[in-house]
Amino acid sequence: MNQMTTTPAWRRRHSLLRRERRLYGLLPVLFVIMIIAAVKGYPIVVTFVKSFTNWDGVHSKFIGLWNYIRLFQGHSFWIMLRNSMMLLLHIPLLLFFGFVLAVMLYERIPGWKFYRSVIYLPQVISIVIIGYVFRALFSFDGSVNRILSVIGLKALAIEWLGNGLSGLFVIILCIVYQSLGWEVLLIFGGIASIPESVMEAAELDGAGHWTRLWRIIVPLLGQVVRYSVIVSVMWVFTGLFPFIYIITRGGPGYETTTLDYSIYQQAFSSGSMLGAASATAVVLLVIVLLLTRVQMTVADKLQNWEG
Amino acid sequence: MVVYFNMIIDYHINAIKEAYMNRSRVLVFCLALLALAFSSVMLFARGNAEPKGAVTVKIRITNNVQLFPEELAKPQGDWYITKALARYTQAHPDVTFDVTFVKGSDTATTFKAAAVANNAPDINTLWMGNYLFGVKDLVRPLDKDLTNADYDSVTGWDFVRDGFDPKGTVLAYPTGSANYSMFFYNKDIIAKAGLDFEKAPPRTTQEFDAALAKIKAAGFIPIAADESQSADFIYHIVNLWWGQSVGIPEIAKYNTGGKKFVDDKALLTALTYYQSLYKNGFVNTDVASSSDHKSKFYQGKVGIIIDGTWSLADLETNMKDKLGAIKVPNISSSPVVKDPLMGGPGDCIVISKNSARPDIALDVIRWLNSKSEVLQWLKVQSAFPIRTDISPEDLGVADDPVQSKMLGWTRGPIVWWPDNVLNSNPMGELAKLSPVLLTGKMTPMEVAAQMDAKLEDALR
Repeated sequence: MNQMTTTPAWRRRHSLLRRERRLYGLLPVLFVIMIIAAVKGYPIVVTFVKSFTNWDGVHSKFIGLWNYIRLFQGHSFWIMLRNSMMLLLHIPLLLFFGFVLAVMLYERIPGWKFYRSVIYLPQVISIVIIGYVFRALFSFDGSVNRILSVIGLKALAIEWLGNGLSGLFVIILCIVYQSLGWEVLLIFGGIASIPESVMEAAELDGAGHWTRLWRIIVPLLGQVVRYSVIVSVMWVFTGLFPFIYIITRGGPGYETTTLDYSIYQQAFSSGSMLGAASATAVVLLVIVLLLTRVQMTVADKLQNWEG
Repeated sequence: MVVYFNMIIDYHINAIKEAYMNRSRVLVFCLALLALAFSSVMLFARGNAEPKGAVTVKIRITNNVQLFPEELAKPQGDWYITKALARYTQAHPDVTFDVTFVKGSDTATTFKAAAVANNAPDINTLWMGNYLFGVKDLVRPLDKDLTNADYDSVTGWDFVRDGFDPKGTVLAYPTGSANYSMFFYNKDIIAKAGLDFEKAPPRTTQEFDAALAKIKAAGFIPIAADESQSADFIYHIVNLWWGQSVGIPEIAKYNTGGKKFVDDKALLTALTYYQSLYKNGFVNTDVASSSDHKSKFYQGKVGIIIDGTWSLADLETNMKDKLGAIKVPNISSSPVVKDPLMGGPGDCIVISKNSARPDIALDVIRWLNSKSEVLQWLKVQSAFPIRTDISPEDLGVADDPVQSKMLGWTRGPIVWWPDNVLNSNPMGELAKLSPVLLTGKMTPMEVAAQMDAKLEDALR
């Protein structure tokens, strides 16, 4: 027998042992995987199937691609997609202010412990309350317009929530206000994880504060920024329902309606168009998956380029 | 497969051996087992707490029928419905109730979801018309259970028959009150504007425009509305103009297909006039996003608001003798229904198909609709009940100028709720687009086209 092609017995036993261990590792979590597949996977499959029907919660008849055709033919779909894209503008604002505040906390400015609590407070308050506060502040007779009138900027005292663009602006402000604590925490964690030795070495080499900030801290926060952007983009498409519902109800018309809000409206507000809502949900899933894929590809390429 | 199961068994045997070696883990495991056993016993015991022969009726109530906004601030034990059901239990000791509450706008959806899961309450309050027809396969038909006494005691049976067909299946029992919407006004502001709505209420759109111009010239907001949250103007005023122009049977024809909103001149006329009110400055500037129009009315800044008999108690408490009411002016000189009030019975109670004791459920419904109970209910809510044997003296409105006037109106021509007649999809689209229509960002024709698209989707 050729000694180059025969697998030694000890190696065969080792390989079998590894397979057994992998299986034993899988066994305890198999039950959990089954539950997750049932709870998360089953609704996705049902939603996909029902998107080809006129399901109203009780009756269901196959209607082919009608729901998808109507969705893309409708004027409102493109408005809703535009709205979601515009709400992505909150991400650079969040990153900028989050970075500034995180650096200030890292530098331990006087009162930093107090500021840390204050910055994180909106994160623990219900979005419903924050939404109502912003709705009241930006109402036509609200505090914002009153202040603008007092300081001589009455021309800017508009009906903030009665117009699509200004309504989206208010929603963006509310999102940034509510999410700032999370962003600061994330970036602060990223800065804190930079080894002290790196910063000391830079200092010894004569790097000043700004040089350390821009040449060391910012580049090393790449992974944190990548994670923040990916999660924020997903959240814009799937998690802004409370903001829209409380502040504008998606109005006026469809001017501040997003795709996930329209799913709720189609399914539960009027007519129980669950089939159409399912089609919108499937389209939303595809959009989120595509965007996430694009982001990860771009981030990987940037990382390789930097490397 | 045998090898697989052997692996699982071996794994668990090894796990038990390992646990046995570790005493603290064994102790925790035993305590967990004990807790599980104890809670199972408690659940089992609770499940068997009901004595034999006892019945628990699951009942879902909604706001403005069995539960009123003013009551929400009180403890549940003080609610009318809690006391009402306690009285029933007193008379029928074997019957207890499991009560849940849901908003009127959500009741059809939640009932549908529960019924599909075979978990619907025995008794559920719904809105009449298309909201009821959407769940007709999930409710028990009542034709065989009802008697002449039922039909004679309350009004509204036309609106609970399937498809509004006079011979259609009776799907629900009318309940609650007949509500009507209208304009309420501030008498002081109207007087300052040089008008007298009691003697000369505006009955045409030209007279209405002239009156609104005078209120505006006097320095007040002529009409305040909120089209962002509740689309009051659409549901209560535009719908009346549309309904009076064509009649409700014509609106019902949309549900079977073949008609288009873009061809409906009466609807387009109503929407055009509606739009002109904002253009002429007769409506509050922030109508597309306002949520405080009522507060402004109470503060004496607004001449007229849109509301209904369901808010009478609140309006009278806040406005006192400054409150007046007028019917909505006619949109044209020769409508199908002239000088109508919009409204009528709007609520009903259904018995779900999966109810274990429909006989008891029907008895409870009859009891809640009995004269004695309705009179108790009227102590909490100021309303016009649908019972046919309750007099103005019973209602206590003989000395109330606003309510006694309204009661007279209810005996006259009525346009029943078009939003309950028309399929909810196009109606919902109209309500959603109302702020952009009112402020001139869309034309009536564009809105009608969107409604046609939504109706086509619904009838697919």
